[in-house]
Amino acid sequence: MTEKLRSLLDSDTNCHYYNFAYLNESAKREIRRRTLKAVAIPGHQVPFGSREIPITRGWGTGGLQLTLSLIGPEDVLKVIDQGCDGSVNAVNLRRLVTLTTGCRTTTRTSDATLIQTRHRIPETPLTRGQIIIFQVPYPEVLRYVEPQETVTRRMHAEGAYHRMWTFLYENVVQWGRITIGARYPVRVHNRYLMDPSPIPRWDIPKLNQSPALMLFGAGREKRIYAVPPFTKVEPLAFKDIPFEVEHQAGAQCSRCGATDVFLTEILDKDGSCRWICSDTDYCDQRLAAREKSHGV
Amino acid sequence: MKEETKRPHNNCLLSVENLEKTFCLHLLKRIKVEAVQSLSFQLRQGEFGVIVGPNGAGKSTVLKCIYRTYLPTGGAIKYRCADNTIVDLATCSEQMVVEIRKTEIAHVTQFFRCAPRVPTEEVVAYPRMAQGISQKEAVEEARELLKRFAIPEKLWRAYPVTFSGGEQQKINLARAIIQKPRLLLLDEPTASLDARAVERFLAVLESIRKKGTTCLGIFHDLEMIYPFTTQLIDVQGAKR
Amino acid sequence: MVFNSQLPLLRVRNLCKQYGPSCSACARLTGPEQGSNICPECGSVVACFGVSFELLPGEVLGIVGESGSGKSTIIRCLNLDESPTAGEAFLSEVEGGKVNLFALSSQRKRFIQSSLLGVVYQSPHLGLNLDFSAGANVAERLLIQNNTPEYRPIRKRTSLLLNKVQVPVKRMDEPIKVFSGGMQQRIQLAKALAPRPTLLLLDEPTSGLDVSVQARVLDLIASLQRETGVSMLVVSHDLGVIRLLTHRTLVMKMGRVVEQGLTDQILEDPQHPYTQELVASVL
Repeated sequence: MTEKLRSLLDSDTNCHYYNFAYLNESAKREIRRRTLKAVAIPGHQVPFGSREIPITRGWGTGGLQLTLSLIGPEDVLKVIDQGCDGSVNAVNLRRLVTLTTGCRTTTRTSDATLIQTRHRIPETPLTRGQIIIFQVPYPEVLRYVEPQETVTRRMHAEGAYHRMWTFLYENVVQWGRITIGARYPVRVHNRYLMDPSPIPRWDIPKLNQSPALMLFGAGREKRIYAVPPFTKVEPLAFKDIPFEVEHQAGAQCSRCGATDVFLTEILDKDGSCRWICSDTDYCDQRLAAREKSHGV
Repeated sequence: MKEETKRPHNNCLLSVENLEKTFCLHLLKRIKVEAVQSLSFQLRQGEFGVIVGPNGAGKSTVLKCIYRTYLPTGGAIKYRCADNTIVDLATCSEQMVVEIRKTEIAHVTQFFRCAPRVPTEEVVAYPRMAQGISQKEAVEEARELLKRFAIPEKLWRAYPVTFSGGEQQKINLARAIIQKPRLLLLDEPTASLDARAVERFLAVLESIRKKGTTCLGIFHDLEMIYPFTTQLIDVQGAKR
Repeated sequence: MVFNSQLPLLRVRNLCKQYGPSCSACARLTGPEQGSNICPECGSVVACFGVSFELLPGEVLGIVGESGSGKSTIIRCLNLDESPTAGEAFLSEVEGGKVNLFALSSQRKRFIQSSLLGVVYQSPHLGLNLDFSAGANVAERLLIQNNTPEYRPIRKRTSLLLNKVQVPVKRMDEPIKVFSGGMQQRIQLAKALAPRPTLLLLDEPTSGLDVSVQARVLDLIASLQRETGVSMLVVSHDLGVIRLLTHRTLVMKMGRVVEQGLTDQILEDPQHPYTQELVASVL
């Protein structure tokens, strides 16, 4: 038995001992139905029966279940973790999907049909027909102000978001500006308040009127929500204190020289720090383009 | 609530008809105490009526029935309002009584009571403010009155609780007079005042009477009041 | 006379609130004559029953009674925090007083609660968020109906309101828990008055405060009433507070109204045996 398992793991081809995309068909059906409902009510959290999959809760099970329910043999999958295709978790997730589907994978954003991401939106603009699936740790944006689920559900149902506004007011009183970094509350389609998952503020503007379908899955919390293409998504901000993205004057990527993308700070062993593009694909593309132009 | 529009004769402001007040004390096994029985009298505009009778005869009761602090158990108290409608104070609605108390009838009680920690000039100004006058103007008028009652200026911002009984009574009078009422009910207003203060007070009363206020009161010192009196009402029945 | 045709601001008809499984005997077997709120047959608590009254604009109505008389229940129902078992309430500002507030959707109730009503509770933790600052608590009321709020005007109005209730503006960013009891009540007042409501509900606003503080807060309430002309419903077990603030009063016992009348008449010429007992018991 062990030999057979080993041979399966070593194989790059579709594994016949699992259903296509690991989940059984009724699981996929439920998740698709829930997703349809979520798309019909932008920003509204839809509960779903989160299945057991060979990844621990809290490590992307929600996003993975969405990917597994939607992926087909012709799809091209990209998986990133904090913008990086090569991170351990991204690699493992990609391997599980390819093992059970045999689908093609890519690191190029523009070539993908399905993008599963943890905490970042790619810098390359998304196009119509693409689906981006976010891994969500905490789907409830009102958890900032209210611990009880029964109360937050009522607040969403009635559109009673004034406590969130009070929280932001206090923030400004204390610090002069809103200090929320990731998980910045956004309002979808002028109705629901949504947690966009822990993407940086830099990525918030990309949510608005995106040509792609954006799906959010929280496996541990058992919620799915969605933002259909070309939907209004605006960050919560006072009219006289506008929303600001992160900025660091003078920072540029030490690899490709980019200044207008989200950069991560890296501390070298000798203590010095430098910046690098968070989106590895974008960085690679820029580098390739630069080398090409130099080569010419 | 019953209202009649026919007027009684002779410029009559107040017509008390067979007024009866009996108290039922439930705590004492429902014994009944008859305070006032079948009292009738009329008061014309501008008059100065004085209710007389021995202690405990029911004099204060009559005033309180007119002011509706007590609910009369029988009879009628017909009052002619500023717009000439007649209202039976004994049976009319509470909202009407509240309105009449604000603008037409003032009651000077025997014992002074006011909100704690409020300066004297504001205590006097409040009833005027309730009539819609701004605080600033009302306080100005209050100060004028306090001057006439010889309350020194440095005490205008003091709390009434610090004053002597007599001084408190002056404040009591001032806050009733500031309302410019058509009917002023006075319950032993000069009890704690010395002779000079009584003179001053009577002078103020005369001046408001000239402006049309009718007075009905109980006074323990009838000698000083007598010259001003136009009618004596014996609460025990016989009218003089 | 002009005031005869004044429309009442608030009309309450037959307000009833029961907790527990009710039965047909509940009304008959509870009340002041029976001496109990609890129905002996089914055990339900009849908090209040058959309460009806009217409140004119600019008037202050008092509700006095001992613990268990149902006074606070009335406030909670009128503030639309709780639904009564039966009864109707009409506010002249809501469709001319023709629609029963209790029958409205929760969205409309919340709208009315946040723009037309204000409430001050006996204990600050019921009316305030203890972790937020004083300013934030007042601002919360201003943020309820607002989908595109502006920070600076809200902050300005908040400091104006706190100033009006004599809370030092330089303390407006401190959390509620560091304020004294009297200050917390003032902040509740500021919060209640923020949207310029037409009806203010006060549930034992000064009980539990020191006497000197009580006097100040009561005077503040009285002067705010004079200044803004807001109608008020004041619930208290303290007859002194009732005498000071109210024009008319309801006396309640065991969930029923036993007497209604002008405040000075209730206090000096009480008709009902219970009222006589209450008045005689004042220290």
